[in-house]
Amino acid sequence: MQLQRVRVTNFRKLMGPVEIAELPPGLAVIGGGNEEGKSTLLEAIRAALFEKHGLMGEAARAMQPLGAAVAPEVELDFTVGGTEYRLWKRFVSKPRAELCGGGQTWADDAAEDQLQALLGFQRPGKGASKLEHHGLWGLLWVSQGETFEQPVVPNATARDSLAGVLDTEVGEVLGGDVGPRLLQEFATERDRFWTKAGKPRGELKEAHSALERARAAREAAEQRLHEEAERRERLERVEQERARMRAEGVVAQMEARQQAAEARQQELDQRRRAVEDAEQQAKLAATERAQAQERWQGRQTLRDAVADLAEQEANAEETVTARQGEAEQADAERDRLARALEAAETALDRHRARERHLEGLRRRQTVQAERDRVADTLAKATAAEAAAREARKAAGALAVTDQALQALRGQEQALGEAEARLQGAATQMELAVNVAYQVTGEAQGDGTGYRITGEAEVILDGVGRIQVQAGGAELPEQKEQARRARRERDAALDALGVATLAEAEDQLARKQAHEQEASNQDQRLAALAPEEAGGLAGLRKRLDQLDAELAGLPTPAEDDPDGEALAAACEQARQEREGAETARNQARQALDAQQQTVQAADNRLTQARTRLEEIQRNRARYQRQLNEARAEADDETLARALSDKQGQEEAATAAAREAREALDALDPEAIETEVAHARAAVTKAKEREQELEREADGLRRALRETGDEGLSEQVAELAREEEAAERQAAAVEREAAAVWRAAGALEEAAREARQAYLAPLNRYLVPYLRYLFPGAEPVLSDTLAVEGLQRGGQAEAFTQLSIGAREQVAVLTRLAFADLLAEAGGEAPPVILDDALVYADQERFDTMKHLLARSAQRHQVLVLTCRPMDYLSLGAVEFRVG
Amino acid sequence: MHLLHTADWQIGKGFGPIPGDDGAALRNQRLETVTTLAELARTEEVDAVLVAGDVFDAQSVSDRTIRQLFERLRAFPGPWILLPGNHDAAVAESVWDRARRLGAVPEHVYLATEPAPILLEEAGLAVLPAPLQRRHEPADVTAWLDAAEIPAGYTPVGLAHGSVTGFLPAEAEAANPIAPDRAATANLAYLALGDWHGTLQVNERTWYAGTPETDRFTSSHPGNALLVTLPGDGGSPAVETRATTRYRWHRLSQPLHEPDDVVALGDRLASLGEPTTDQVVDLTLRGALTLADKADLDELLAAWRGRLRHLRVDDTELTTRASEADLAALDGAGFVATAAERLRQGAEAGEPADATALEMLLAAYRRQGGG
Repeated sequence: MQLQRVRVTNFRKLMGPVEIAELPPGLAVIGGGNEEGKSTLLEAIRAALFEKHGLMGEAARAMQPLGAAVAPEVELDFTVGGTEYRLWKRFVSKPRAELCGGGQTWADDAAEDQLQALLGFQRPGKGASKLEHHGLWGLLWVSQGETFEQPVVPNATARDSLAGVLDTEVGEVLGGDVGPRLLQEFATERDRFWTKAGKPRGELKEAHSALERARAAREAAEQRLHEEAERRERLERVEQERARMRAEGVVAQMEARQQAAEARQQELDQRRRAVEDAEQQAKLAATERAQAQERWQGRQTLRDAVADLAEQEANAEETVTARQGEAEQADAERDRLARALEAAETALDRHRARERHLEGLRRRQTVQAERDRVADTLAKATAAEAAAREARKAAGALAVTDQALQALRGQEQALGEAEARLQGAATQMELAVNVAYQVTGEAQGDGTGYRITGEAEVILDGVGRIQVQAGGAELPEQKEQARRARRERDAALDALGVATLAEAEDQLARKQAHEQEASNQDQRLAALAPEEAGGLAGLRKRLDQLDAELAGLPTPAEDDPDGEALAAACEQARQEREGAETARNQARQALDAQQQTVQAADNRLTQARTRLEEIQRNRARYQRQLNEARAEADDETLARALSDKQGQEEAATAAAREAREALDALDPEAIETEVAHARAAVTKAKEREQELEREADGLRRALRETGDEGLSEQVAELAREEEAAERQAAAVEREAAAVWRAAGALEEAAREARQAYLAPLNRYLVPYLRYLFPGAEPVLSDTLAVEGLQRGGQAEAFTQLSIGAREQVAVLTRLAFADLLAEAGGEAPPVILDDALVYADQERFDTMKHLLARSAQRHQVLVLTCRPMDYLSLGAVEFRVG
Repeated sequence: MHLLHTADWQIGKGFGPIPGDDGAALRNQRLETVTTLAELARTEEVDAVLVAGDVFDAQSVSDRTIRQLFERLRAFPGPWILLPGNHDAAVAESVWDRARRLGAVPEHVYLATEPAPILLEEAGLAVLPAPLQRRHEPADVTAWLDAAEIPAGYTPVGLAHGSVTGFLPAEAEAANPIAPDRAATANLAYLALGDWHGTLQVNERTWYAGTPETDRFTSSHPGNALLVTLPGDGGSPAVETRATTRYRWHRLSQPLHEPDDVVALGDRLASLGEPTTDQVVDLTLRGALTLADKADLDELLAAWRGRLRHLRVDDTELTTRASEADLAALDGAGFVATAAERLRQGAEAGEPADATALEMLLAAYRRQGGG
């Protein structure tokens, strides 16, 4: 199909007739600035083709120019299948439609029907048509800003048209209407049985579960039945064992064995008692023999004791005698030593008196010397104290002080300064006269002239008198200050009792010399009689002590040595006294030792006497006991009795041994073991009987309890249910497996068919894409939408591409569709691009222009653009709107 | 003297392979057949009914089942002698003990739980039972019959349950042996046996009665009771076989390839006998049918399921195959045809799920308006 001319009147902003005629079959560029009506032109063409002339309502009114109650009109010339047609429509007011072509004319609804049949599009039930109704026009006709919003998805009617073309290419269809429905049906069926991961669900899962439940129920019942059978078998075995025990008389046998063993046990017990009797007799005989033996031994012991004590008594008497001799000898020696000690102590007293006398004389010498030294020190200290006192007194007599002197110096200076200021203020008078002169009054000469401080008079000899009056303004004040300063200085001098400052300074120097002397005497006193030693009083006290000690010391006799001889005499006296002390100590030690010897001898004598007395008492007591015992039974009687009892004991012991041997011959341990075993066996056999009886009763009870349940019938019933569940599960499995296979086979075949179906489109699309996207393959959906690109093994969704790339892919896809239709001999509507490719860079824009031109060789391509110059290089026919 | 010889009632036995109501009806029929036996005994005026073991299927049948059985025996007031078999051996706390304790046993019913003669004075009959007192007895429990003492004037009849040595198939002789010449050695007028489920004569005086109600597909000649007439002169017994079973069990195998085969199967089912509701059928199908023929088969089987007491079908060896016409219907169906063709190849390669899947696909295609 090809558009040849369009004429628009009163359509929105295109009021005056706008006509574009002689559109070429290939590429045409329709230029116009923004808002000049390019898009309105397209809307007008679209309305003419797809909107019924009788369209009412808002959609119809939207065609009118704003605020103008006029009827929009559109006229189109186009060719379809080589036939030229003219379509004219008027909307809103007196709507009309007219279609002429192939020598025929259709009006109004007939025109609409013919147009629909001719172009192959759909109409909505009512209202304005939408893109999905426009068939291939909608696919190939792109408005501003639509290209990159989403993938190019052909509408249903477009797909039908494309399918018609593609069918002829591949000779295969996508299963017609039935195919997709079957795909859906089997997918739904499969979902009924299987999860996406291929695991059972729904009816299939429930069938498996039901089978498992039935199986578990049957197995549980079988288990109970099995347990019942086991109980029955067990009961049978128990009863058999009980019967066997009864038949064999197991308990009776055991009891007989027990009785036999117990009989032997009785015999054993008798022999045991005999043994006990014999052993008792033997024990009694032994006791009696022991008693006799004890009596005999007692007698012997007593006899031996008496004899032994007699011997001890003789020995003790001898000992006493010897000890008496020793004691007397010791006493004589002690007396001798006592006398020697007395002589030694007398000599010692004499030596001590001599030594004390000589030592006293030596002490006197020492004390006297000390006494002389202290007296001398006391005299010096007393002198120093008096000198200090005198010096302080002399200092105190001088009134001037350091502070007073300082004040006097200040007053002297103030007086000087006041005098100076007075002189400075005085009137200077110089005299150069040839006569003698005299100046009187308040004037002072200084060699060069006079300074007049008040009234003065110059008497010039022979000349006369000159009265001078100092006239300075400050002079009276200065004179007053000088007078006050002098008065103050003079008062200070009077107070100190001096006439001048120099005299005062001299007086202060003397005062300080006296004070220094006092200080020196104090230091001397402190050295001679330190405060810590009590000062002068301490010295006097020490002197008194020494005098007192001297009074107590011996005075030397005529022949007493003195000096060096006294020291030697003292030493000799000391040595003699020490020698006397040593002699006295040795004598005392000898006496003490002998005193101990005497004491020891006395002790031994006492012990010997005590021992003798004790022996004598014991011997008398034992002798008395022996006499008394013998009075009861003499020694011979006791010896005979012992011999008799010994004989009896031997006989009883032999009898007991024989009885024991007779007992041991019976093997008591074996008999007792046998009895224990036999009794245990009887107990065990009875217990076994009772145990079997109890078990049998228990088993019977259990069997009676389960008897009524009809377990075997239950098992049969449950087995039947299990088989039914098995059959059901098998049937569902078969159905589920078949559904799985059918759905899989359908989907696989559909996938392959789709690939074959999409191949022709790819044949056109791929070369276009590779101009811009080297190595790229389009990813096409079942609905022929370009869902993205496959590049380098990576899939990129359409929406992930850049805006420019999306726009370019969208345009190329449309060119490919148009190429495909044109190639197949179909009627491709013109490809119309409204302000497309605005996002392309220059290189891609140039490539796209090249591809547009190439595609336009097969079908019509209309490019509406606000920049027609960009397309100049294509050499395409250019039209203008507005 | 007339006796009714029966055995192997196996009251309480379930029907494992037959589920639901069908199984319940079959199970219930065992009791109904006892009524049939009582009726037969009454009409034939027999002197006693001898039941040669396995009266109950298990020791653990319910009390209700026990009571139901003994109630049925009241329909014939003459003596019934019930012998414990291997299924209901006279063990401790056996089903017989329970029946006695329940007070369910009528006076004219004798429970032969001990190996001791039962003297029926009125009939002059001495029944010598050889009850199993354990489930499996390694020794011949009929041995005591050789030395049994009976009062003069009584006709000795043996009653036992087990395998006659050297007579039955090997698998039936595992336990409870019975000497083949016991009737002779014990000088019996007749030896009534149980355990073998088919009616079978062992020798002149020894018979297996078989189970009175068929309960499996494999037993040979089951479903009878024996009417035994003992001549007064001690001569050979006259034994008549009386059919007592209600249900007939059939095991069929049918190859299916062509439409005619389906028709032939219908004919076979129709020839099983009347009433069809008393027929129990185990049908194994093999071969491969076209989808159309398979639909016909399904229709046929659905009809027979309603007519027979029970129809069990094993069609695991039967496959469907898409005919050229089936596949031709998919012409122009695009990938659906491709999928169908692949499933057909899979089915032909022996993949049963593919065959069913193809069947489903074609059916769905037709349903969705294709073809």
